[in-house]
Amino acid sequence: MRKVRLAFSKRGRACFIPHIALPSLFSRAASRAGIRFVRTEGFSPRPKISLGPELPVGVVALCEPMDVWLEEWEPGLFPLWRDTLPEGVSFSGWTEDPQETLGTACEAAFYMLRVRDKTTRRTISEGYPWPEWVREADCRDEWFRIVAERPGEHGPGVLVRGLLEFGGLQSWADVNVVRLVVGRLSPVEGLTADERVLPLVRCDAGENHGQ
Amino acid sequence: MFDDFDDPYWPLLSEVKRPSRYVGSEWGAGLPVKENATVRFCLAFPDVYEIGMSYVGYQILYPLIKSLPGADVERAYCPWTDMEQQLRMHNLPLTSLETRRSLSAFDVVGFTLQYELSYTNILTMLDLGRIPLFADERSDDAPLVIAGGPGAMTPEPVAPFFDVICIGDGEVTLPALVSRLVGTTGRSRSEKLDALSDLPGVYLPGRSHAEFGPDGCVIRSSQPLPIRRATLTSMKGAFVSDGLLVPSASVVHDRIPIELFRGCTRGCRFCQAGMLYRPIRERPVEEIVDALLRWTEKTGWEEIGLVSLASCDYSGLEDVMERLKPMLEQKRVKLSLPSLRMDAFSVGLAAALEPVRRGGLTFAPEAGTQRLRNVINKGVSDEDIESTLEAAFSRGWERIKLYFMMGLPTETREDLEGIAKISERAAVIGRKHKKRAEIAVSVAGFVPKPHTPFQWERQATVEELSERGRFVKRLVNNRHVTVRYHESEQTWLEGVFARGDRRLAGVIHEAWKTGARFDGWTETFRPDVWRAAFVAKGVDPDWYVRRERTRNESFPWDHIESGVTRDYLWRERERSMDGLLTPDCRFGECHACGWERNGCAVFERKAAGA
Repeated sequence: MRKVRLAFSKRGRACFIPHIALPSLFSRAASRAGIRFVRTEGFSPRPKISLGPELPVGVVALCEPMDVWLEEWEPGLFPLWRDTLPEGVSFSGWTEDPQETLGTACEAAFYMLRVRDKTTRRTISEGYPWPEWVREADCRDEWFRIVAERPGEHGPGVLVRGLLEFGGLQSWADVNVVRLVVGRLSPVEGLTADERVLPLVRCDAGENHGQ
Repeated sequence: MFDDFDDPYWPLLSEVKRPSRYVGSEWGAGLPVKENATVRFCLAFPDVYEIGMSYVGYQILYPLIKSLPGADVERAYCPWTDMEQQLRMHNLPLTSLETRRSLSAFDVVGFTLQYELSYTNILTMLDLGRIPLFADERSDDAPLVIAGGPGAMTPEPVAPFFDVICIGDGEVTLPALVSRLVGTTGRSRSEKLDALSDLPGVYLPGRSHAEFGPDGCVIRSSQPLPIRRATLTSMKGAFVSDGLLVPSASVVHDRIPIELFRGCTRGCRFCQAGMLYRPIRERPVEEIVDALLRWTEKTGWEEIGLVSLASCDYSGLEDVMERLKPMLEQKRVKLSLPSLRMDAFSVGLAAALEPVRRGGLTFAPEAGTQRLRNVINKGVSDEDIESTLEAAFSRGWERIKLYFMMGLPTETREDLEGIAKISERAAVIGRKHKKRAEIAVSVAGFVPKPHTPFQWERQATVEELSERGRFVKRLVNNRHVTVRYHESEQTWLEGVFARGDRRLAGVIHEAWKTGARFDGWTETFRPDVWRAAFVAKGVDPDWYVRRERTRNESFPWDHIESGVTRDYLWRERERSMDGLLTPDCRFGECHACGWERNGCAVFERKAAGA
């Protein structure tokens, strides 16, 4: 049995595939690639797979961690599996035998959140009391760059709901959310928002195979 | 920076329920598109995505059309009411999933007519797809709008919305149609229709009109009538695709669908499918096994569903199971039988397929007494029911679903009491084996369907059905049995359309304009809108359902020939009233349904043996 940690991305309309549909999406793709999953115990055994913090529909995601337990693994399987994923879903990297569980490792997430309406943007940057788990939130151009802690407890849903309640936004349609990284919070001081969260798997768009 | 959000539909997707319906992103969907195609075909399904993606027909026709020279194919599904509202608000068209072009940009838009209560959804899709609703309003640059499926056998209520109606197996009609259209690219609409007019199974509603007289409705056409159903003569060597479309979000039937055979000769007199899809045509064992080995490999699906009319009847079933066994075990793929015959053999089969019996089993005794089951030719005896239930519970299942009908011809109080008796008996048998035994009873209102022995019958009224439903529900007094019956107003409307004529097209249009949507869904069905539409159009709906028809009445589906003769249907009706069973011709004599002269394999095998 091999435990492999993968990073996946969801782009375009595939962002509207619900989180709950992802395990079977990935396991079917694995099956097409000839990769065999270890199965869970119990009455209804299913492929053993553990997703990172929940991702609501409509959020673009670039580097979402996921742990899978496979009967066998070798680097050559990675591109095979990636090529059997449906349009809009892809893998950006992998690493073997991660030491900690995803729950422990997912300390923070880095988001970019676009509010197109200038007035709303100003209202938010000037008056919104960001919750304590938001470490940073700065606004440049149309985008807020946000580092939020404990994404398993407060995901993009909670983040946007706060803004909706504050009154800046009318609906989900007024905001575009991207989750760029989920991972460790860097201990280094003085970093910019996009450097604060360290991916659990090296996420590059290309042929990168992790560490 | 992130062009994902430039998609003009993105804000709409953010506002609707279940946005995954509109995403596509299936494995196996047809990208990259064929650049040189001259006939762009859109397969349109007049219901939501999760229903449409469960339909085996499009899993066949999609790759079939894709394989035709000069043609390319995409799909579209009916947007739910919230998405319809969003599309109108943003002034955006309904598009295909693949290249996201408006339906109006296709050469052909093909609908399947699966169910009468999906007709208003066709208008929603045409309208949002920016295609004029009525065929005679379409100019040369509008797509040809065509229809197929079981509803094509009774096309009159929707005839004015279609340019072409394809009658019969799509594997026969579509390649010929597409090839003629490739040959007439750039020509006028009327020239295209000319080119199609002599193809087998092609009905052109625009070339015909309906006359109403004392003997009923007569269709006159410039095409020679009747139009005979185009039938695939054999399933041996029939088109089998390389792969299948695998959805990325869950759908109703989330599995590989395979037809073991087409047609059914059990001869249940209420069943339209059993009459329409004759003769019985079995697919050879090797072809089934080949297809399934390939499809499990290519799709990654964890389950295979056998979707023939009565899959337990397939002569090579045990052979197929035996040969698939190593693959099923190795890949841990489950084989399932959605419909089970009421006998111990079928239960045994189901048990072999499901070593851990978590789910439930479904059976359809259809009627509550032996007498009424004989009337409808459902060859199931009281003993069969008893032994099937015994077998199911003793083998470990805890939940049994039983399907019945109410409003069947000759039905009496005793028959309804029979439904309650069987249900309670099931609970008693169940409790003997399992403490948590549950019986779910579903009672549907009977709709007499065209091309069946009951096409002459009166349909029970809304009041009668509601009363009978309540009656059965009240009779059952057992907390392990739940009884549900169908919305009787929906049954009524289904009945009106089932045996309707061309005058109903105006009513459908009117009801749609005044808000009728997804009439098959209880949460959206609006009987008041329909009643008002009938009044507005001066059409009496009850005329279609309340009357018993005379033997020689001319029906608005007489110009469509299924292959089963009207004489046979009448004989069956007479036998029905006498309570006589007509046994399955595979195991007895031929009943001369009409196919014996037209290539029925069962008949030919017997003739050769004699």
